Amino acid sequence: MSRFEILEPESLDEALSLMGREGEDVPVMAGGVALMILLKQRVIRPKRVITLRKIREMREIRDEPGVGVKIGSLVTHRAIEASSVVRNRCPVFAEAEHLVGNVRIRNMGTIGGEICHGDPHSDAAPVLVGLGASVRLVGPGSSGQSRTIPISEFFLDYMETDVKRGELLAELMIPEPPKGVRATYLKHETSTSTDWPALGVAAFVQGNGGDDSDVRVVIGSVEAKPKEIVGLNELARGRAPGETFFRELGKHAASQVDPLDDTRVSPWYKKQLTEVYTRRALKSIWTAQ
Amino acid sequence: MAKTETNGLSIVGTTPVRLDGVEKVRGLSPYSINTKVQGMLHAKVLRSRLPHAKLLRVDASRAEKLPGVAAVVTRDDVIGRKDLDPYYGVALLDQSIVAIDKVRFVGDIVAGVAAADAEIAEEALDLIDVEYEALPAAMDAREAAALDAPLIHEAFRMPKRSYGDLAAMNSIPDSNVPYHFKLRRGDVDQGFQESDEIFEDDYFCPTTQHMAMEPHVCIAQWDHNGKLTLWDGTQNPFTVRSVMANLFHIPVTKIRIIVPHLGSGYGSKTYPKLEPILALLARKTDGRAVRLELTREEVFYTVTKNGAWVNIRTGVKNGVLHARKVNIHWDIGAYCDISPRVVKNGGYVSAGPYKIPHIYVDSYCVYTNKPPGGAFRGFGVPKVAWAFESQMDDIAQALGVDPLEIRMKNVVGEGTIFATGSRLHSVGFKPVLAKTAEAIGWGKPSEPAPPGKARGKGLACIIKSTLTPSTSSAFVKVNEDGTVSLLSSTIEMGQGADTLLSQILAEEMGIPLATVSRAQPDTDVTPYDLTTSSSRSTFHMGRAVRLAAIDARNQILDLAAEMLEVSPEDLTLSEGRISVRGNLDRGLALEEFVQGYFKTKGGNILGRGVIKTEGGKLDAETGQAEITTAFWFVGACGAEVEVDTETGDVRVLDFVSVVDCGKAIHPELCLGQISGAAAQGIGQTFYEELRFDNGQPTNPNLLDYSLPSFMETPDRFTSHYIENPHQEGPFGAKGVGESSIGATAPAIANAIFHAVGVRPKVLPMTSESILALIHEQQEQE
Repeated sequence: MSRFEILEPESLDEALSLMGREGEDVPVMAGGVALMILLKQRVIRPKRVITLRKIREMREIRDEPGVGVKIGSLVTHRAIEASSVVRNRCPVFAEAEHLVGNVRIRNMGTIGGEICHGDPHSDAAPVLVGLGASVRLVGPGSSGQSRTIPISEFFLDYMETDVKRGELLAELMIPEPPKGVRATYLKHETSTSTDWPALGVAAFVQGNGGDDSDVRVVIGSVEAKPKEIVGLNELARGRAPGETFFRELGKHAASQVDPLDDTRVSPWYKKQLTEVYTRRALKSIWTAQ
Repeated sequence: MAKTETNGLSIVGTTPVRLDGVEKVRGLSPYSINTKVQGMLHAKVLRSRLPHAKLLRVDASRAEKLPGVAAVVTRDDVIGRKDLDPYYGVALLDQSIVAIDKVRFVGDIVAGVAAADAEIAEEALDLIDVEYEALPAAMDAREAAALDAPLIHEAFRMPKRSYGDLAAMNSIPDSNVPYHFKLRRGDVDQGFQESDEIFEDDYFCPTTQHMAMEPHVCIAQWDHNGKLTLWDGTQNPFTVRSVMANLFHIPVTKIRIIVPHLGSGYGSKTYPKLEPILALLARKTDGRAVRLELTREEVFYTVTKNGAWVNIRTGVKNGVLHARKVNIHWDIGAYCDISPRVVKNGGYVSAGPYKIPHIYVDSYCVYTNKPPGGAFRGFGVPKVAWAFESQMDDIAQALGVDPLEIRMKNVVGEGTIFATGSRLHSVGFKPVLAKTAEAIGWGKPSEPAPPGKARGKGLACIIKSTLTPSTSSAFVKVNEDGTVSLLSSTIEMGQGADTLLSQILAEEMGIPLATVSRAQPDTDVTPYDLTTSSSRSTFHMGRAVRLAAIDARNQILDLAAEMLEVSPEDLTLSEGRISVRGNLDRGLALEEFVQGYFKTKGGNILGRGVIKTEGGKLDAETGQAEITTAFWFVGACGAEVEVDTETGDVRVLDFVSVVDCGKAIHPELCLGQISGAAAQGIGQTFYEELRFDNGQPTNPNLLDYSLPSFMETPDRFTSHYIENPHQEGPFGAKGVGESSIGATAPAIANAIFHAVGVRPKVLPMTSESILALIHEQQEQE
């Protein structure tokens, strides 16, 4: 690691004004899980780093009735995993966060840091897209400036997000889920259990196969950003859920993904996994009721 | 007179708390990485970013001017010097302190800097200007062995004095093959002609790394009398000492190596690694100490486990193995290190622990443009066992014989003549296999698997030698207060050597374990030991310690006999007290004896023990020898797996490892070694591989190079030993540290084979590779 100076703003506004002054070459660090790797491997060699660790804001999980759950961007994976609010209101997100890396990473890593890093190998991303979450960005300059966008629009491409120069991710908002939605998140690691996901499937089912039922599947870690599978409802509505039915849905999902060739597994294998895990996820939701 | 091997033991065979246990749990153990020397500087090294290139220019003048930089070393410091040899190596002198004409792998050392702190040293590296001319690289061992491959070393430089077992290298001139091991026994062509059926397969094991928790770390300092001191996290200080003496043209007494506790080794800290460049840097600092601690990435560039391609051809006649031809290309990376011995030892066990009349082995040591390979727990055996134990189950399947039965029928036993022509002793394969079968529930079908999954069981066994010939020595000092100091150079690196050796000493002398303490290994103080590796310490140092204990005890009883006016035969030493037989009231505590004898406050009774083993020199053309090894390791593993036939995921439901340990000196530590080796084997089976793309390593970090954790250990994971005493081992004991690692992967692969009918031949077995095999099989059906 090269030598750098660490800047420690103590409030959100101080951070935003520092960022405005320092410009783009000064990275912002939340938990440091991803950034430390880049620094250690000397992928980036900044002269200064802004750390958010002294900021007290953005560390809360709030349940706002009628609105949903708000999660500050500096909340750690571990805090989300253990939060009774998240467990009660959107248990699938707590389940997914429980599967992130290992307990050391979950204790250090923040949800905001992970989302802003934009790595497609993310457990949270497909779940948040599936939950219809949105993100509130503040800045540039001061926290008075702010904009809110759906998280599905936040992810732009491989390691690329819609955080604009001078902006910080302030919080996530997960809307109140419609009544009767059942969800699950399944993950496949191709290496050890603490590895990044090779595939994550977030599946949501509302209703029971009638015309108003809703089946949603978002695939993570397969394409450059979370991939929502379209056309599942057309296949699913009015059908009796049986083995053939689940197989068809799995095949449908696999036909829609165009997997990245990453260092761990081949696109061929990712397609196989997409099929198998979509089927298993949907089947587990249907059979669990 | 030594104690009898099995009767009346009170300390050997028990499980006292390990002597270094409390300090390790409390974080107080004096590890190499925690060692500090006042005023020390910090070093960093500049490494090649190209796998193979000519070095056109190295200019460190800008780095030397950076404030805080104390010394820089480049090739200008090693060429044309009278007081220095630029080249070193244990088998061949193929490695230079810093790159001279060429770099040969990504990570090869080009220069070194010592500075006030590590950050300044790193900054200085950026100021060293290096110009390369890229050369074509050879990355595949089979291709690199061809005569038209890019030549990695232009000449093979033999050391002045070779190890006895590596005196004949059979190098292939103008090639990348510095060493070729041959074994010829019987007439293999005739053997194949006589065979009813022939099996031929290719197996592959990748390059991996040991991943000792503590990285390589060393501190070097020259005093003003020209004496070099190293505080070195090494497994074999005496080997490092002799290499350093050759490099700097100084006697070994001008080098002192002090070894703190190691945060594990697994072979990665054998032979010189950081010491040459560090000592040269330190020589330019006017007496200041210099410390070098490798980053995790650099550890991958320092030593690896050799990859290997194994072609194995086996003829079977009347249901027994009749002929076997093995052709192995070992990928040893850019420098030999100790790989030729891996190639030799792995070569002569490549036909397995089986009675085969016709054996023909060619084992080639092949340079590639990868980080150097070297010693790794198992020392070649895991690669060849992956081949011969996997193929064994294919043969069993083809013959319609149970895999356990075919092994029992063919396996060697007491008195069998091995592939090398040596007669085997203390090789309890049959009881080990029987115990393995019992522990895994062999013959009992698995519980039915859930839908989409299949279950199966498999087993495998290995044979391995230990470094031979070799020597160990020990001193025992009986102190004035009745305590006893043990001086031996065995390195405590987690295996529990401090405890084991102290148990042997206490048992043999008849003193309480609590009165024994071990001196820190220090080449100026503790006597010679060849190395702490090859799982040799219990057997070799255990014997030396035992001899030293007997020597001290005999002196004590002789002298005490005069004092007590009885004959020495009438005296016993037990629990630290000298007593007259039949008259327990008459006697002396050890403390009273020492003070009474010297008639002053203090004094020492000194015991010494030196052992050496014979053999190990195999005929250069036939690989035959009267004595191959001081003892043989015998181990087997059994596995039960559940394969997800839709994803290729393999879950190990049950895993057992069984070892013939001769005699368990400390049963818990013995089991710890067995399960530790198996756990490491799990990593090699499913996860570990150092990958390359165009000569560039793509995963030299612990994010991308996966290691097994507790989450990856099998659901049920047990270890067992049988005690089949070795006639020369201390109390019958022999080494156990490597017996289970080689059988892990084939036992699991055989279980997969019996679950789903596919035969993995490439390690690591990823879920993708298993799924691909399942699909291939489905397409063929």
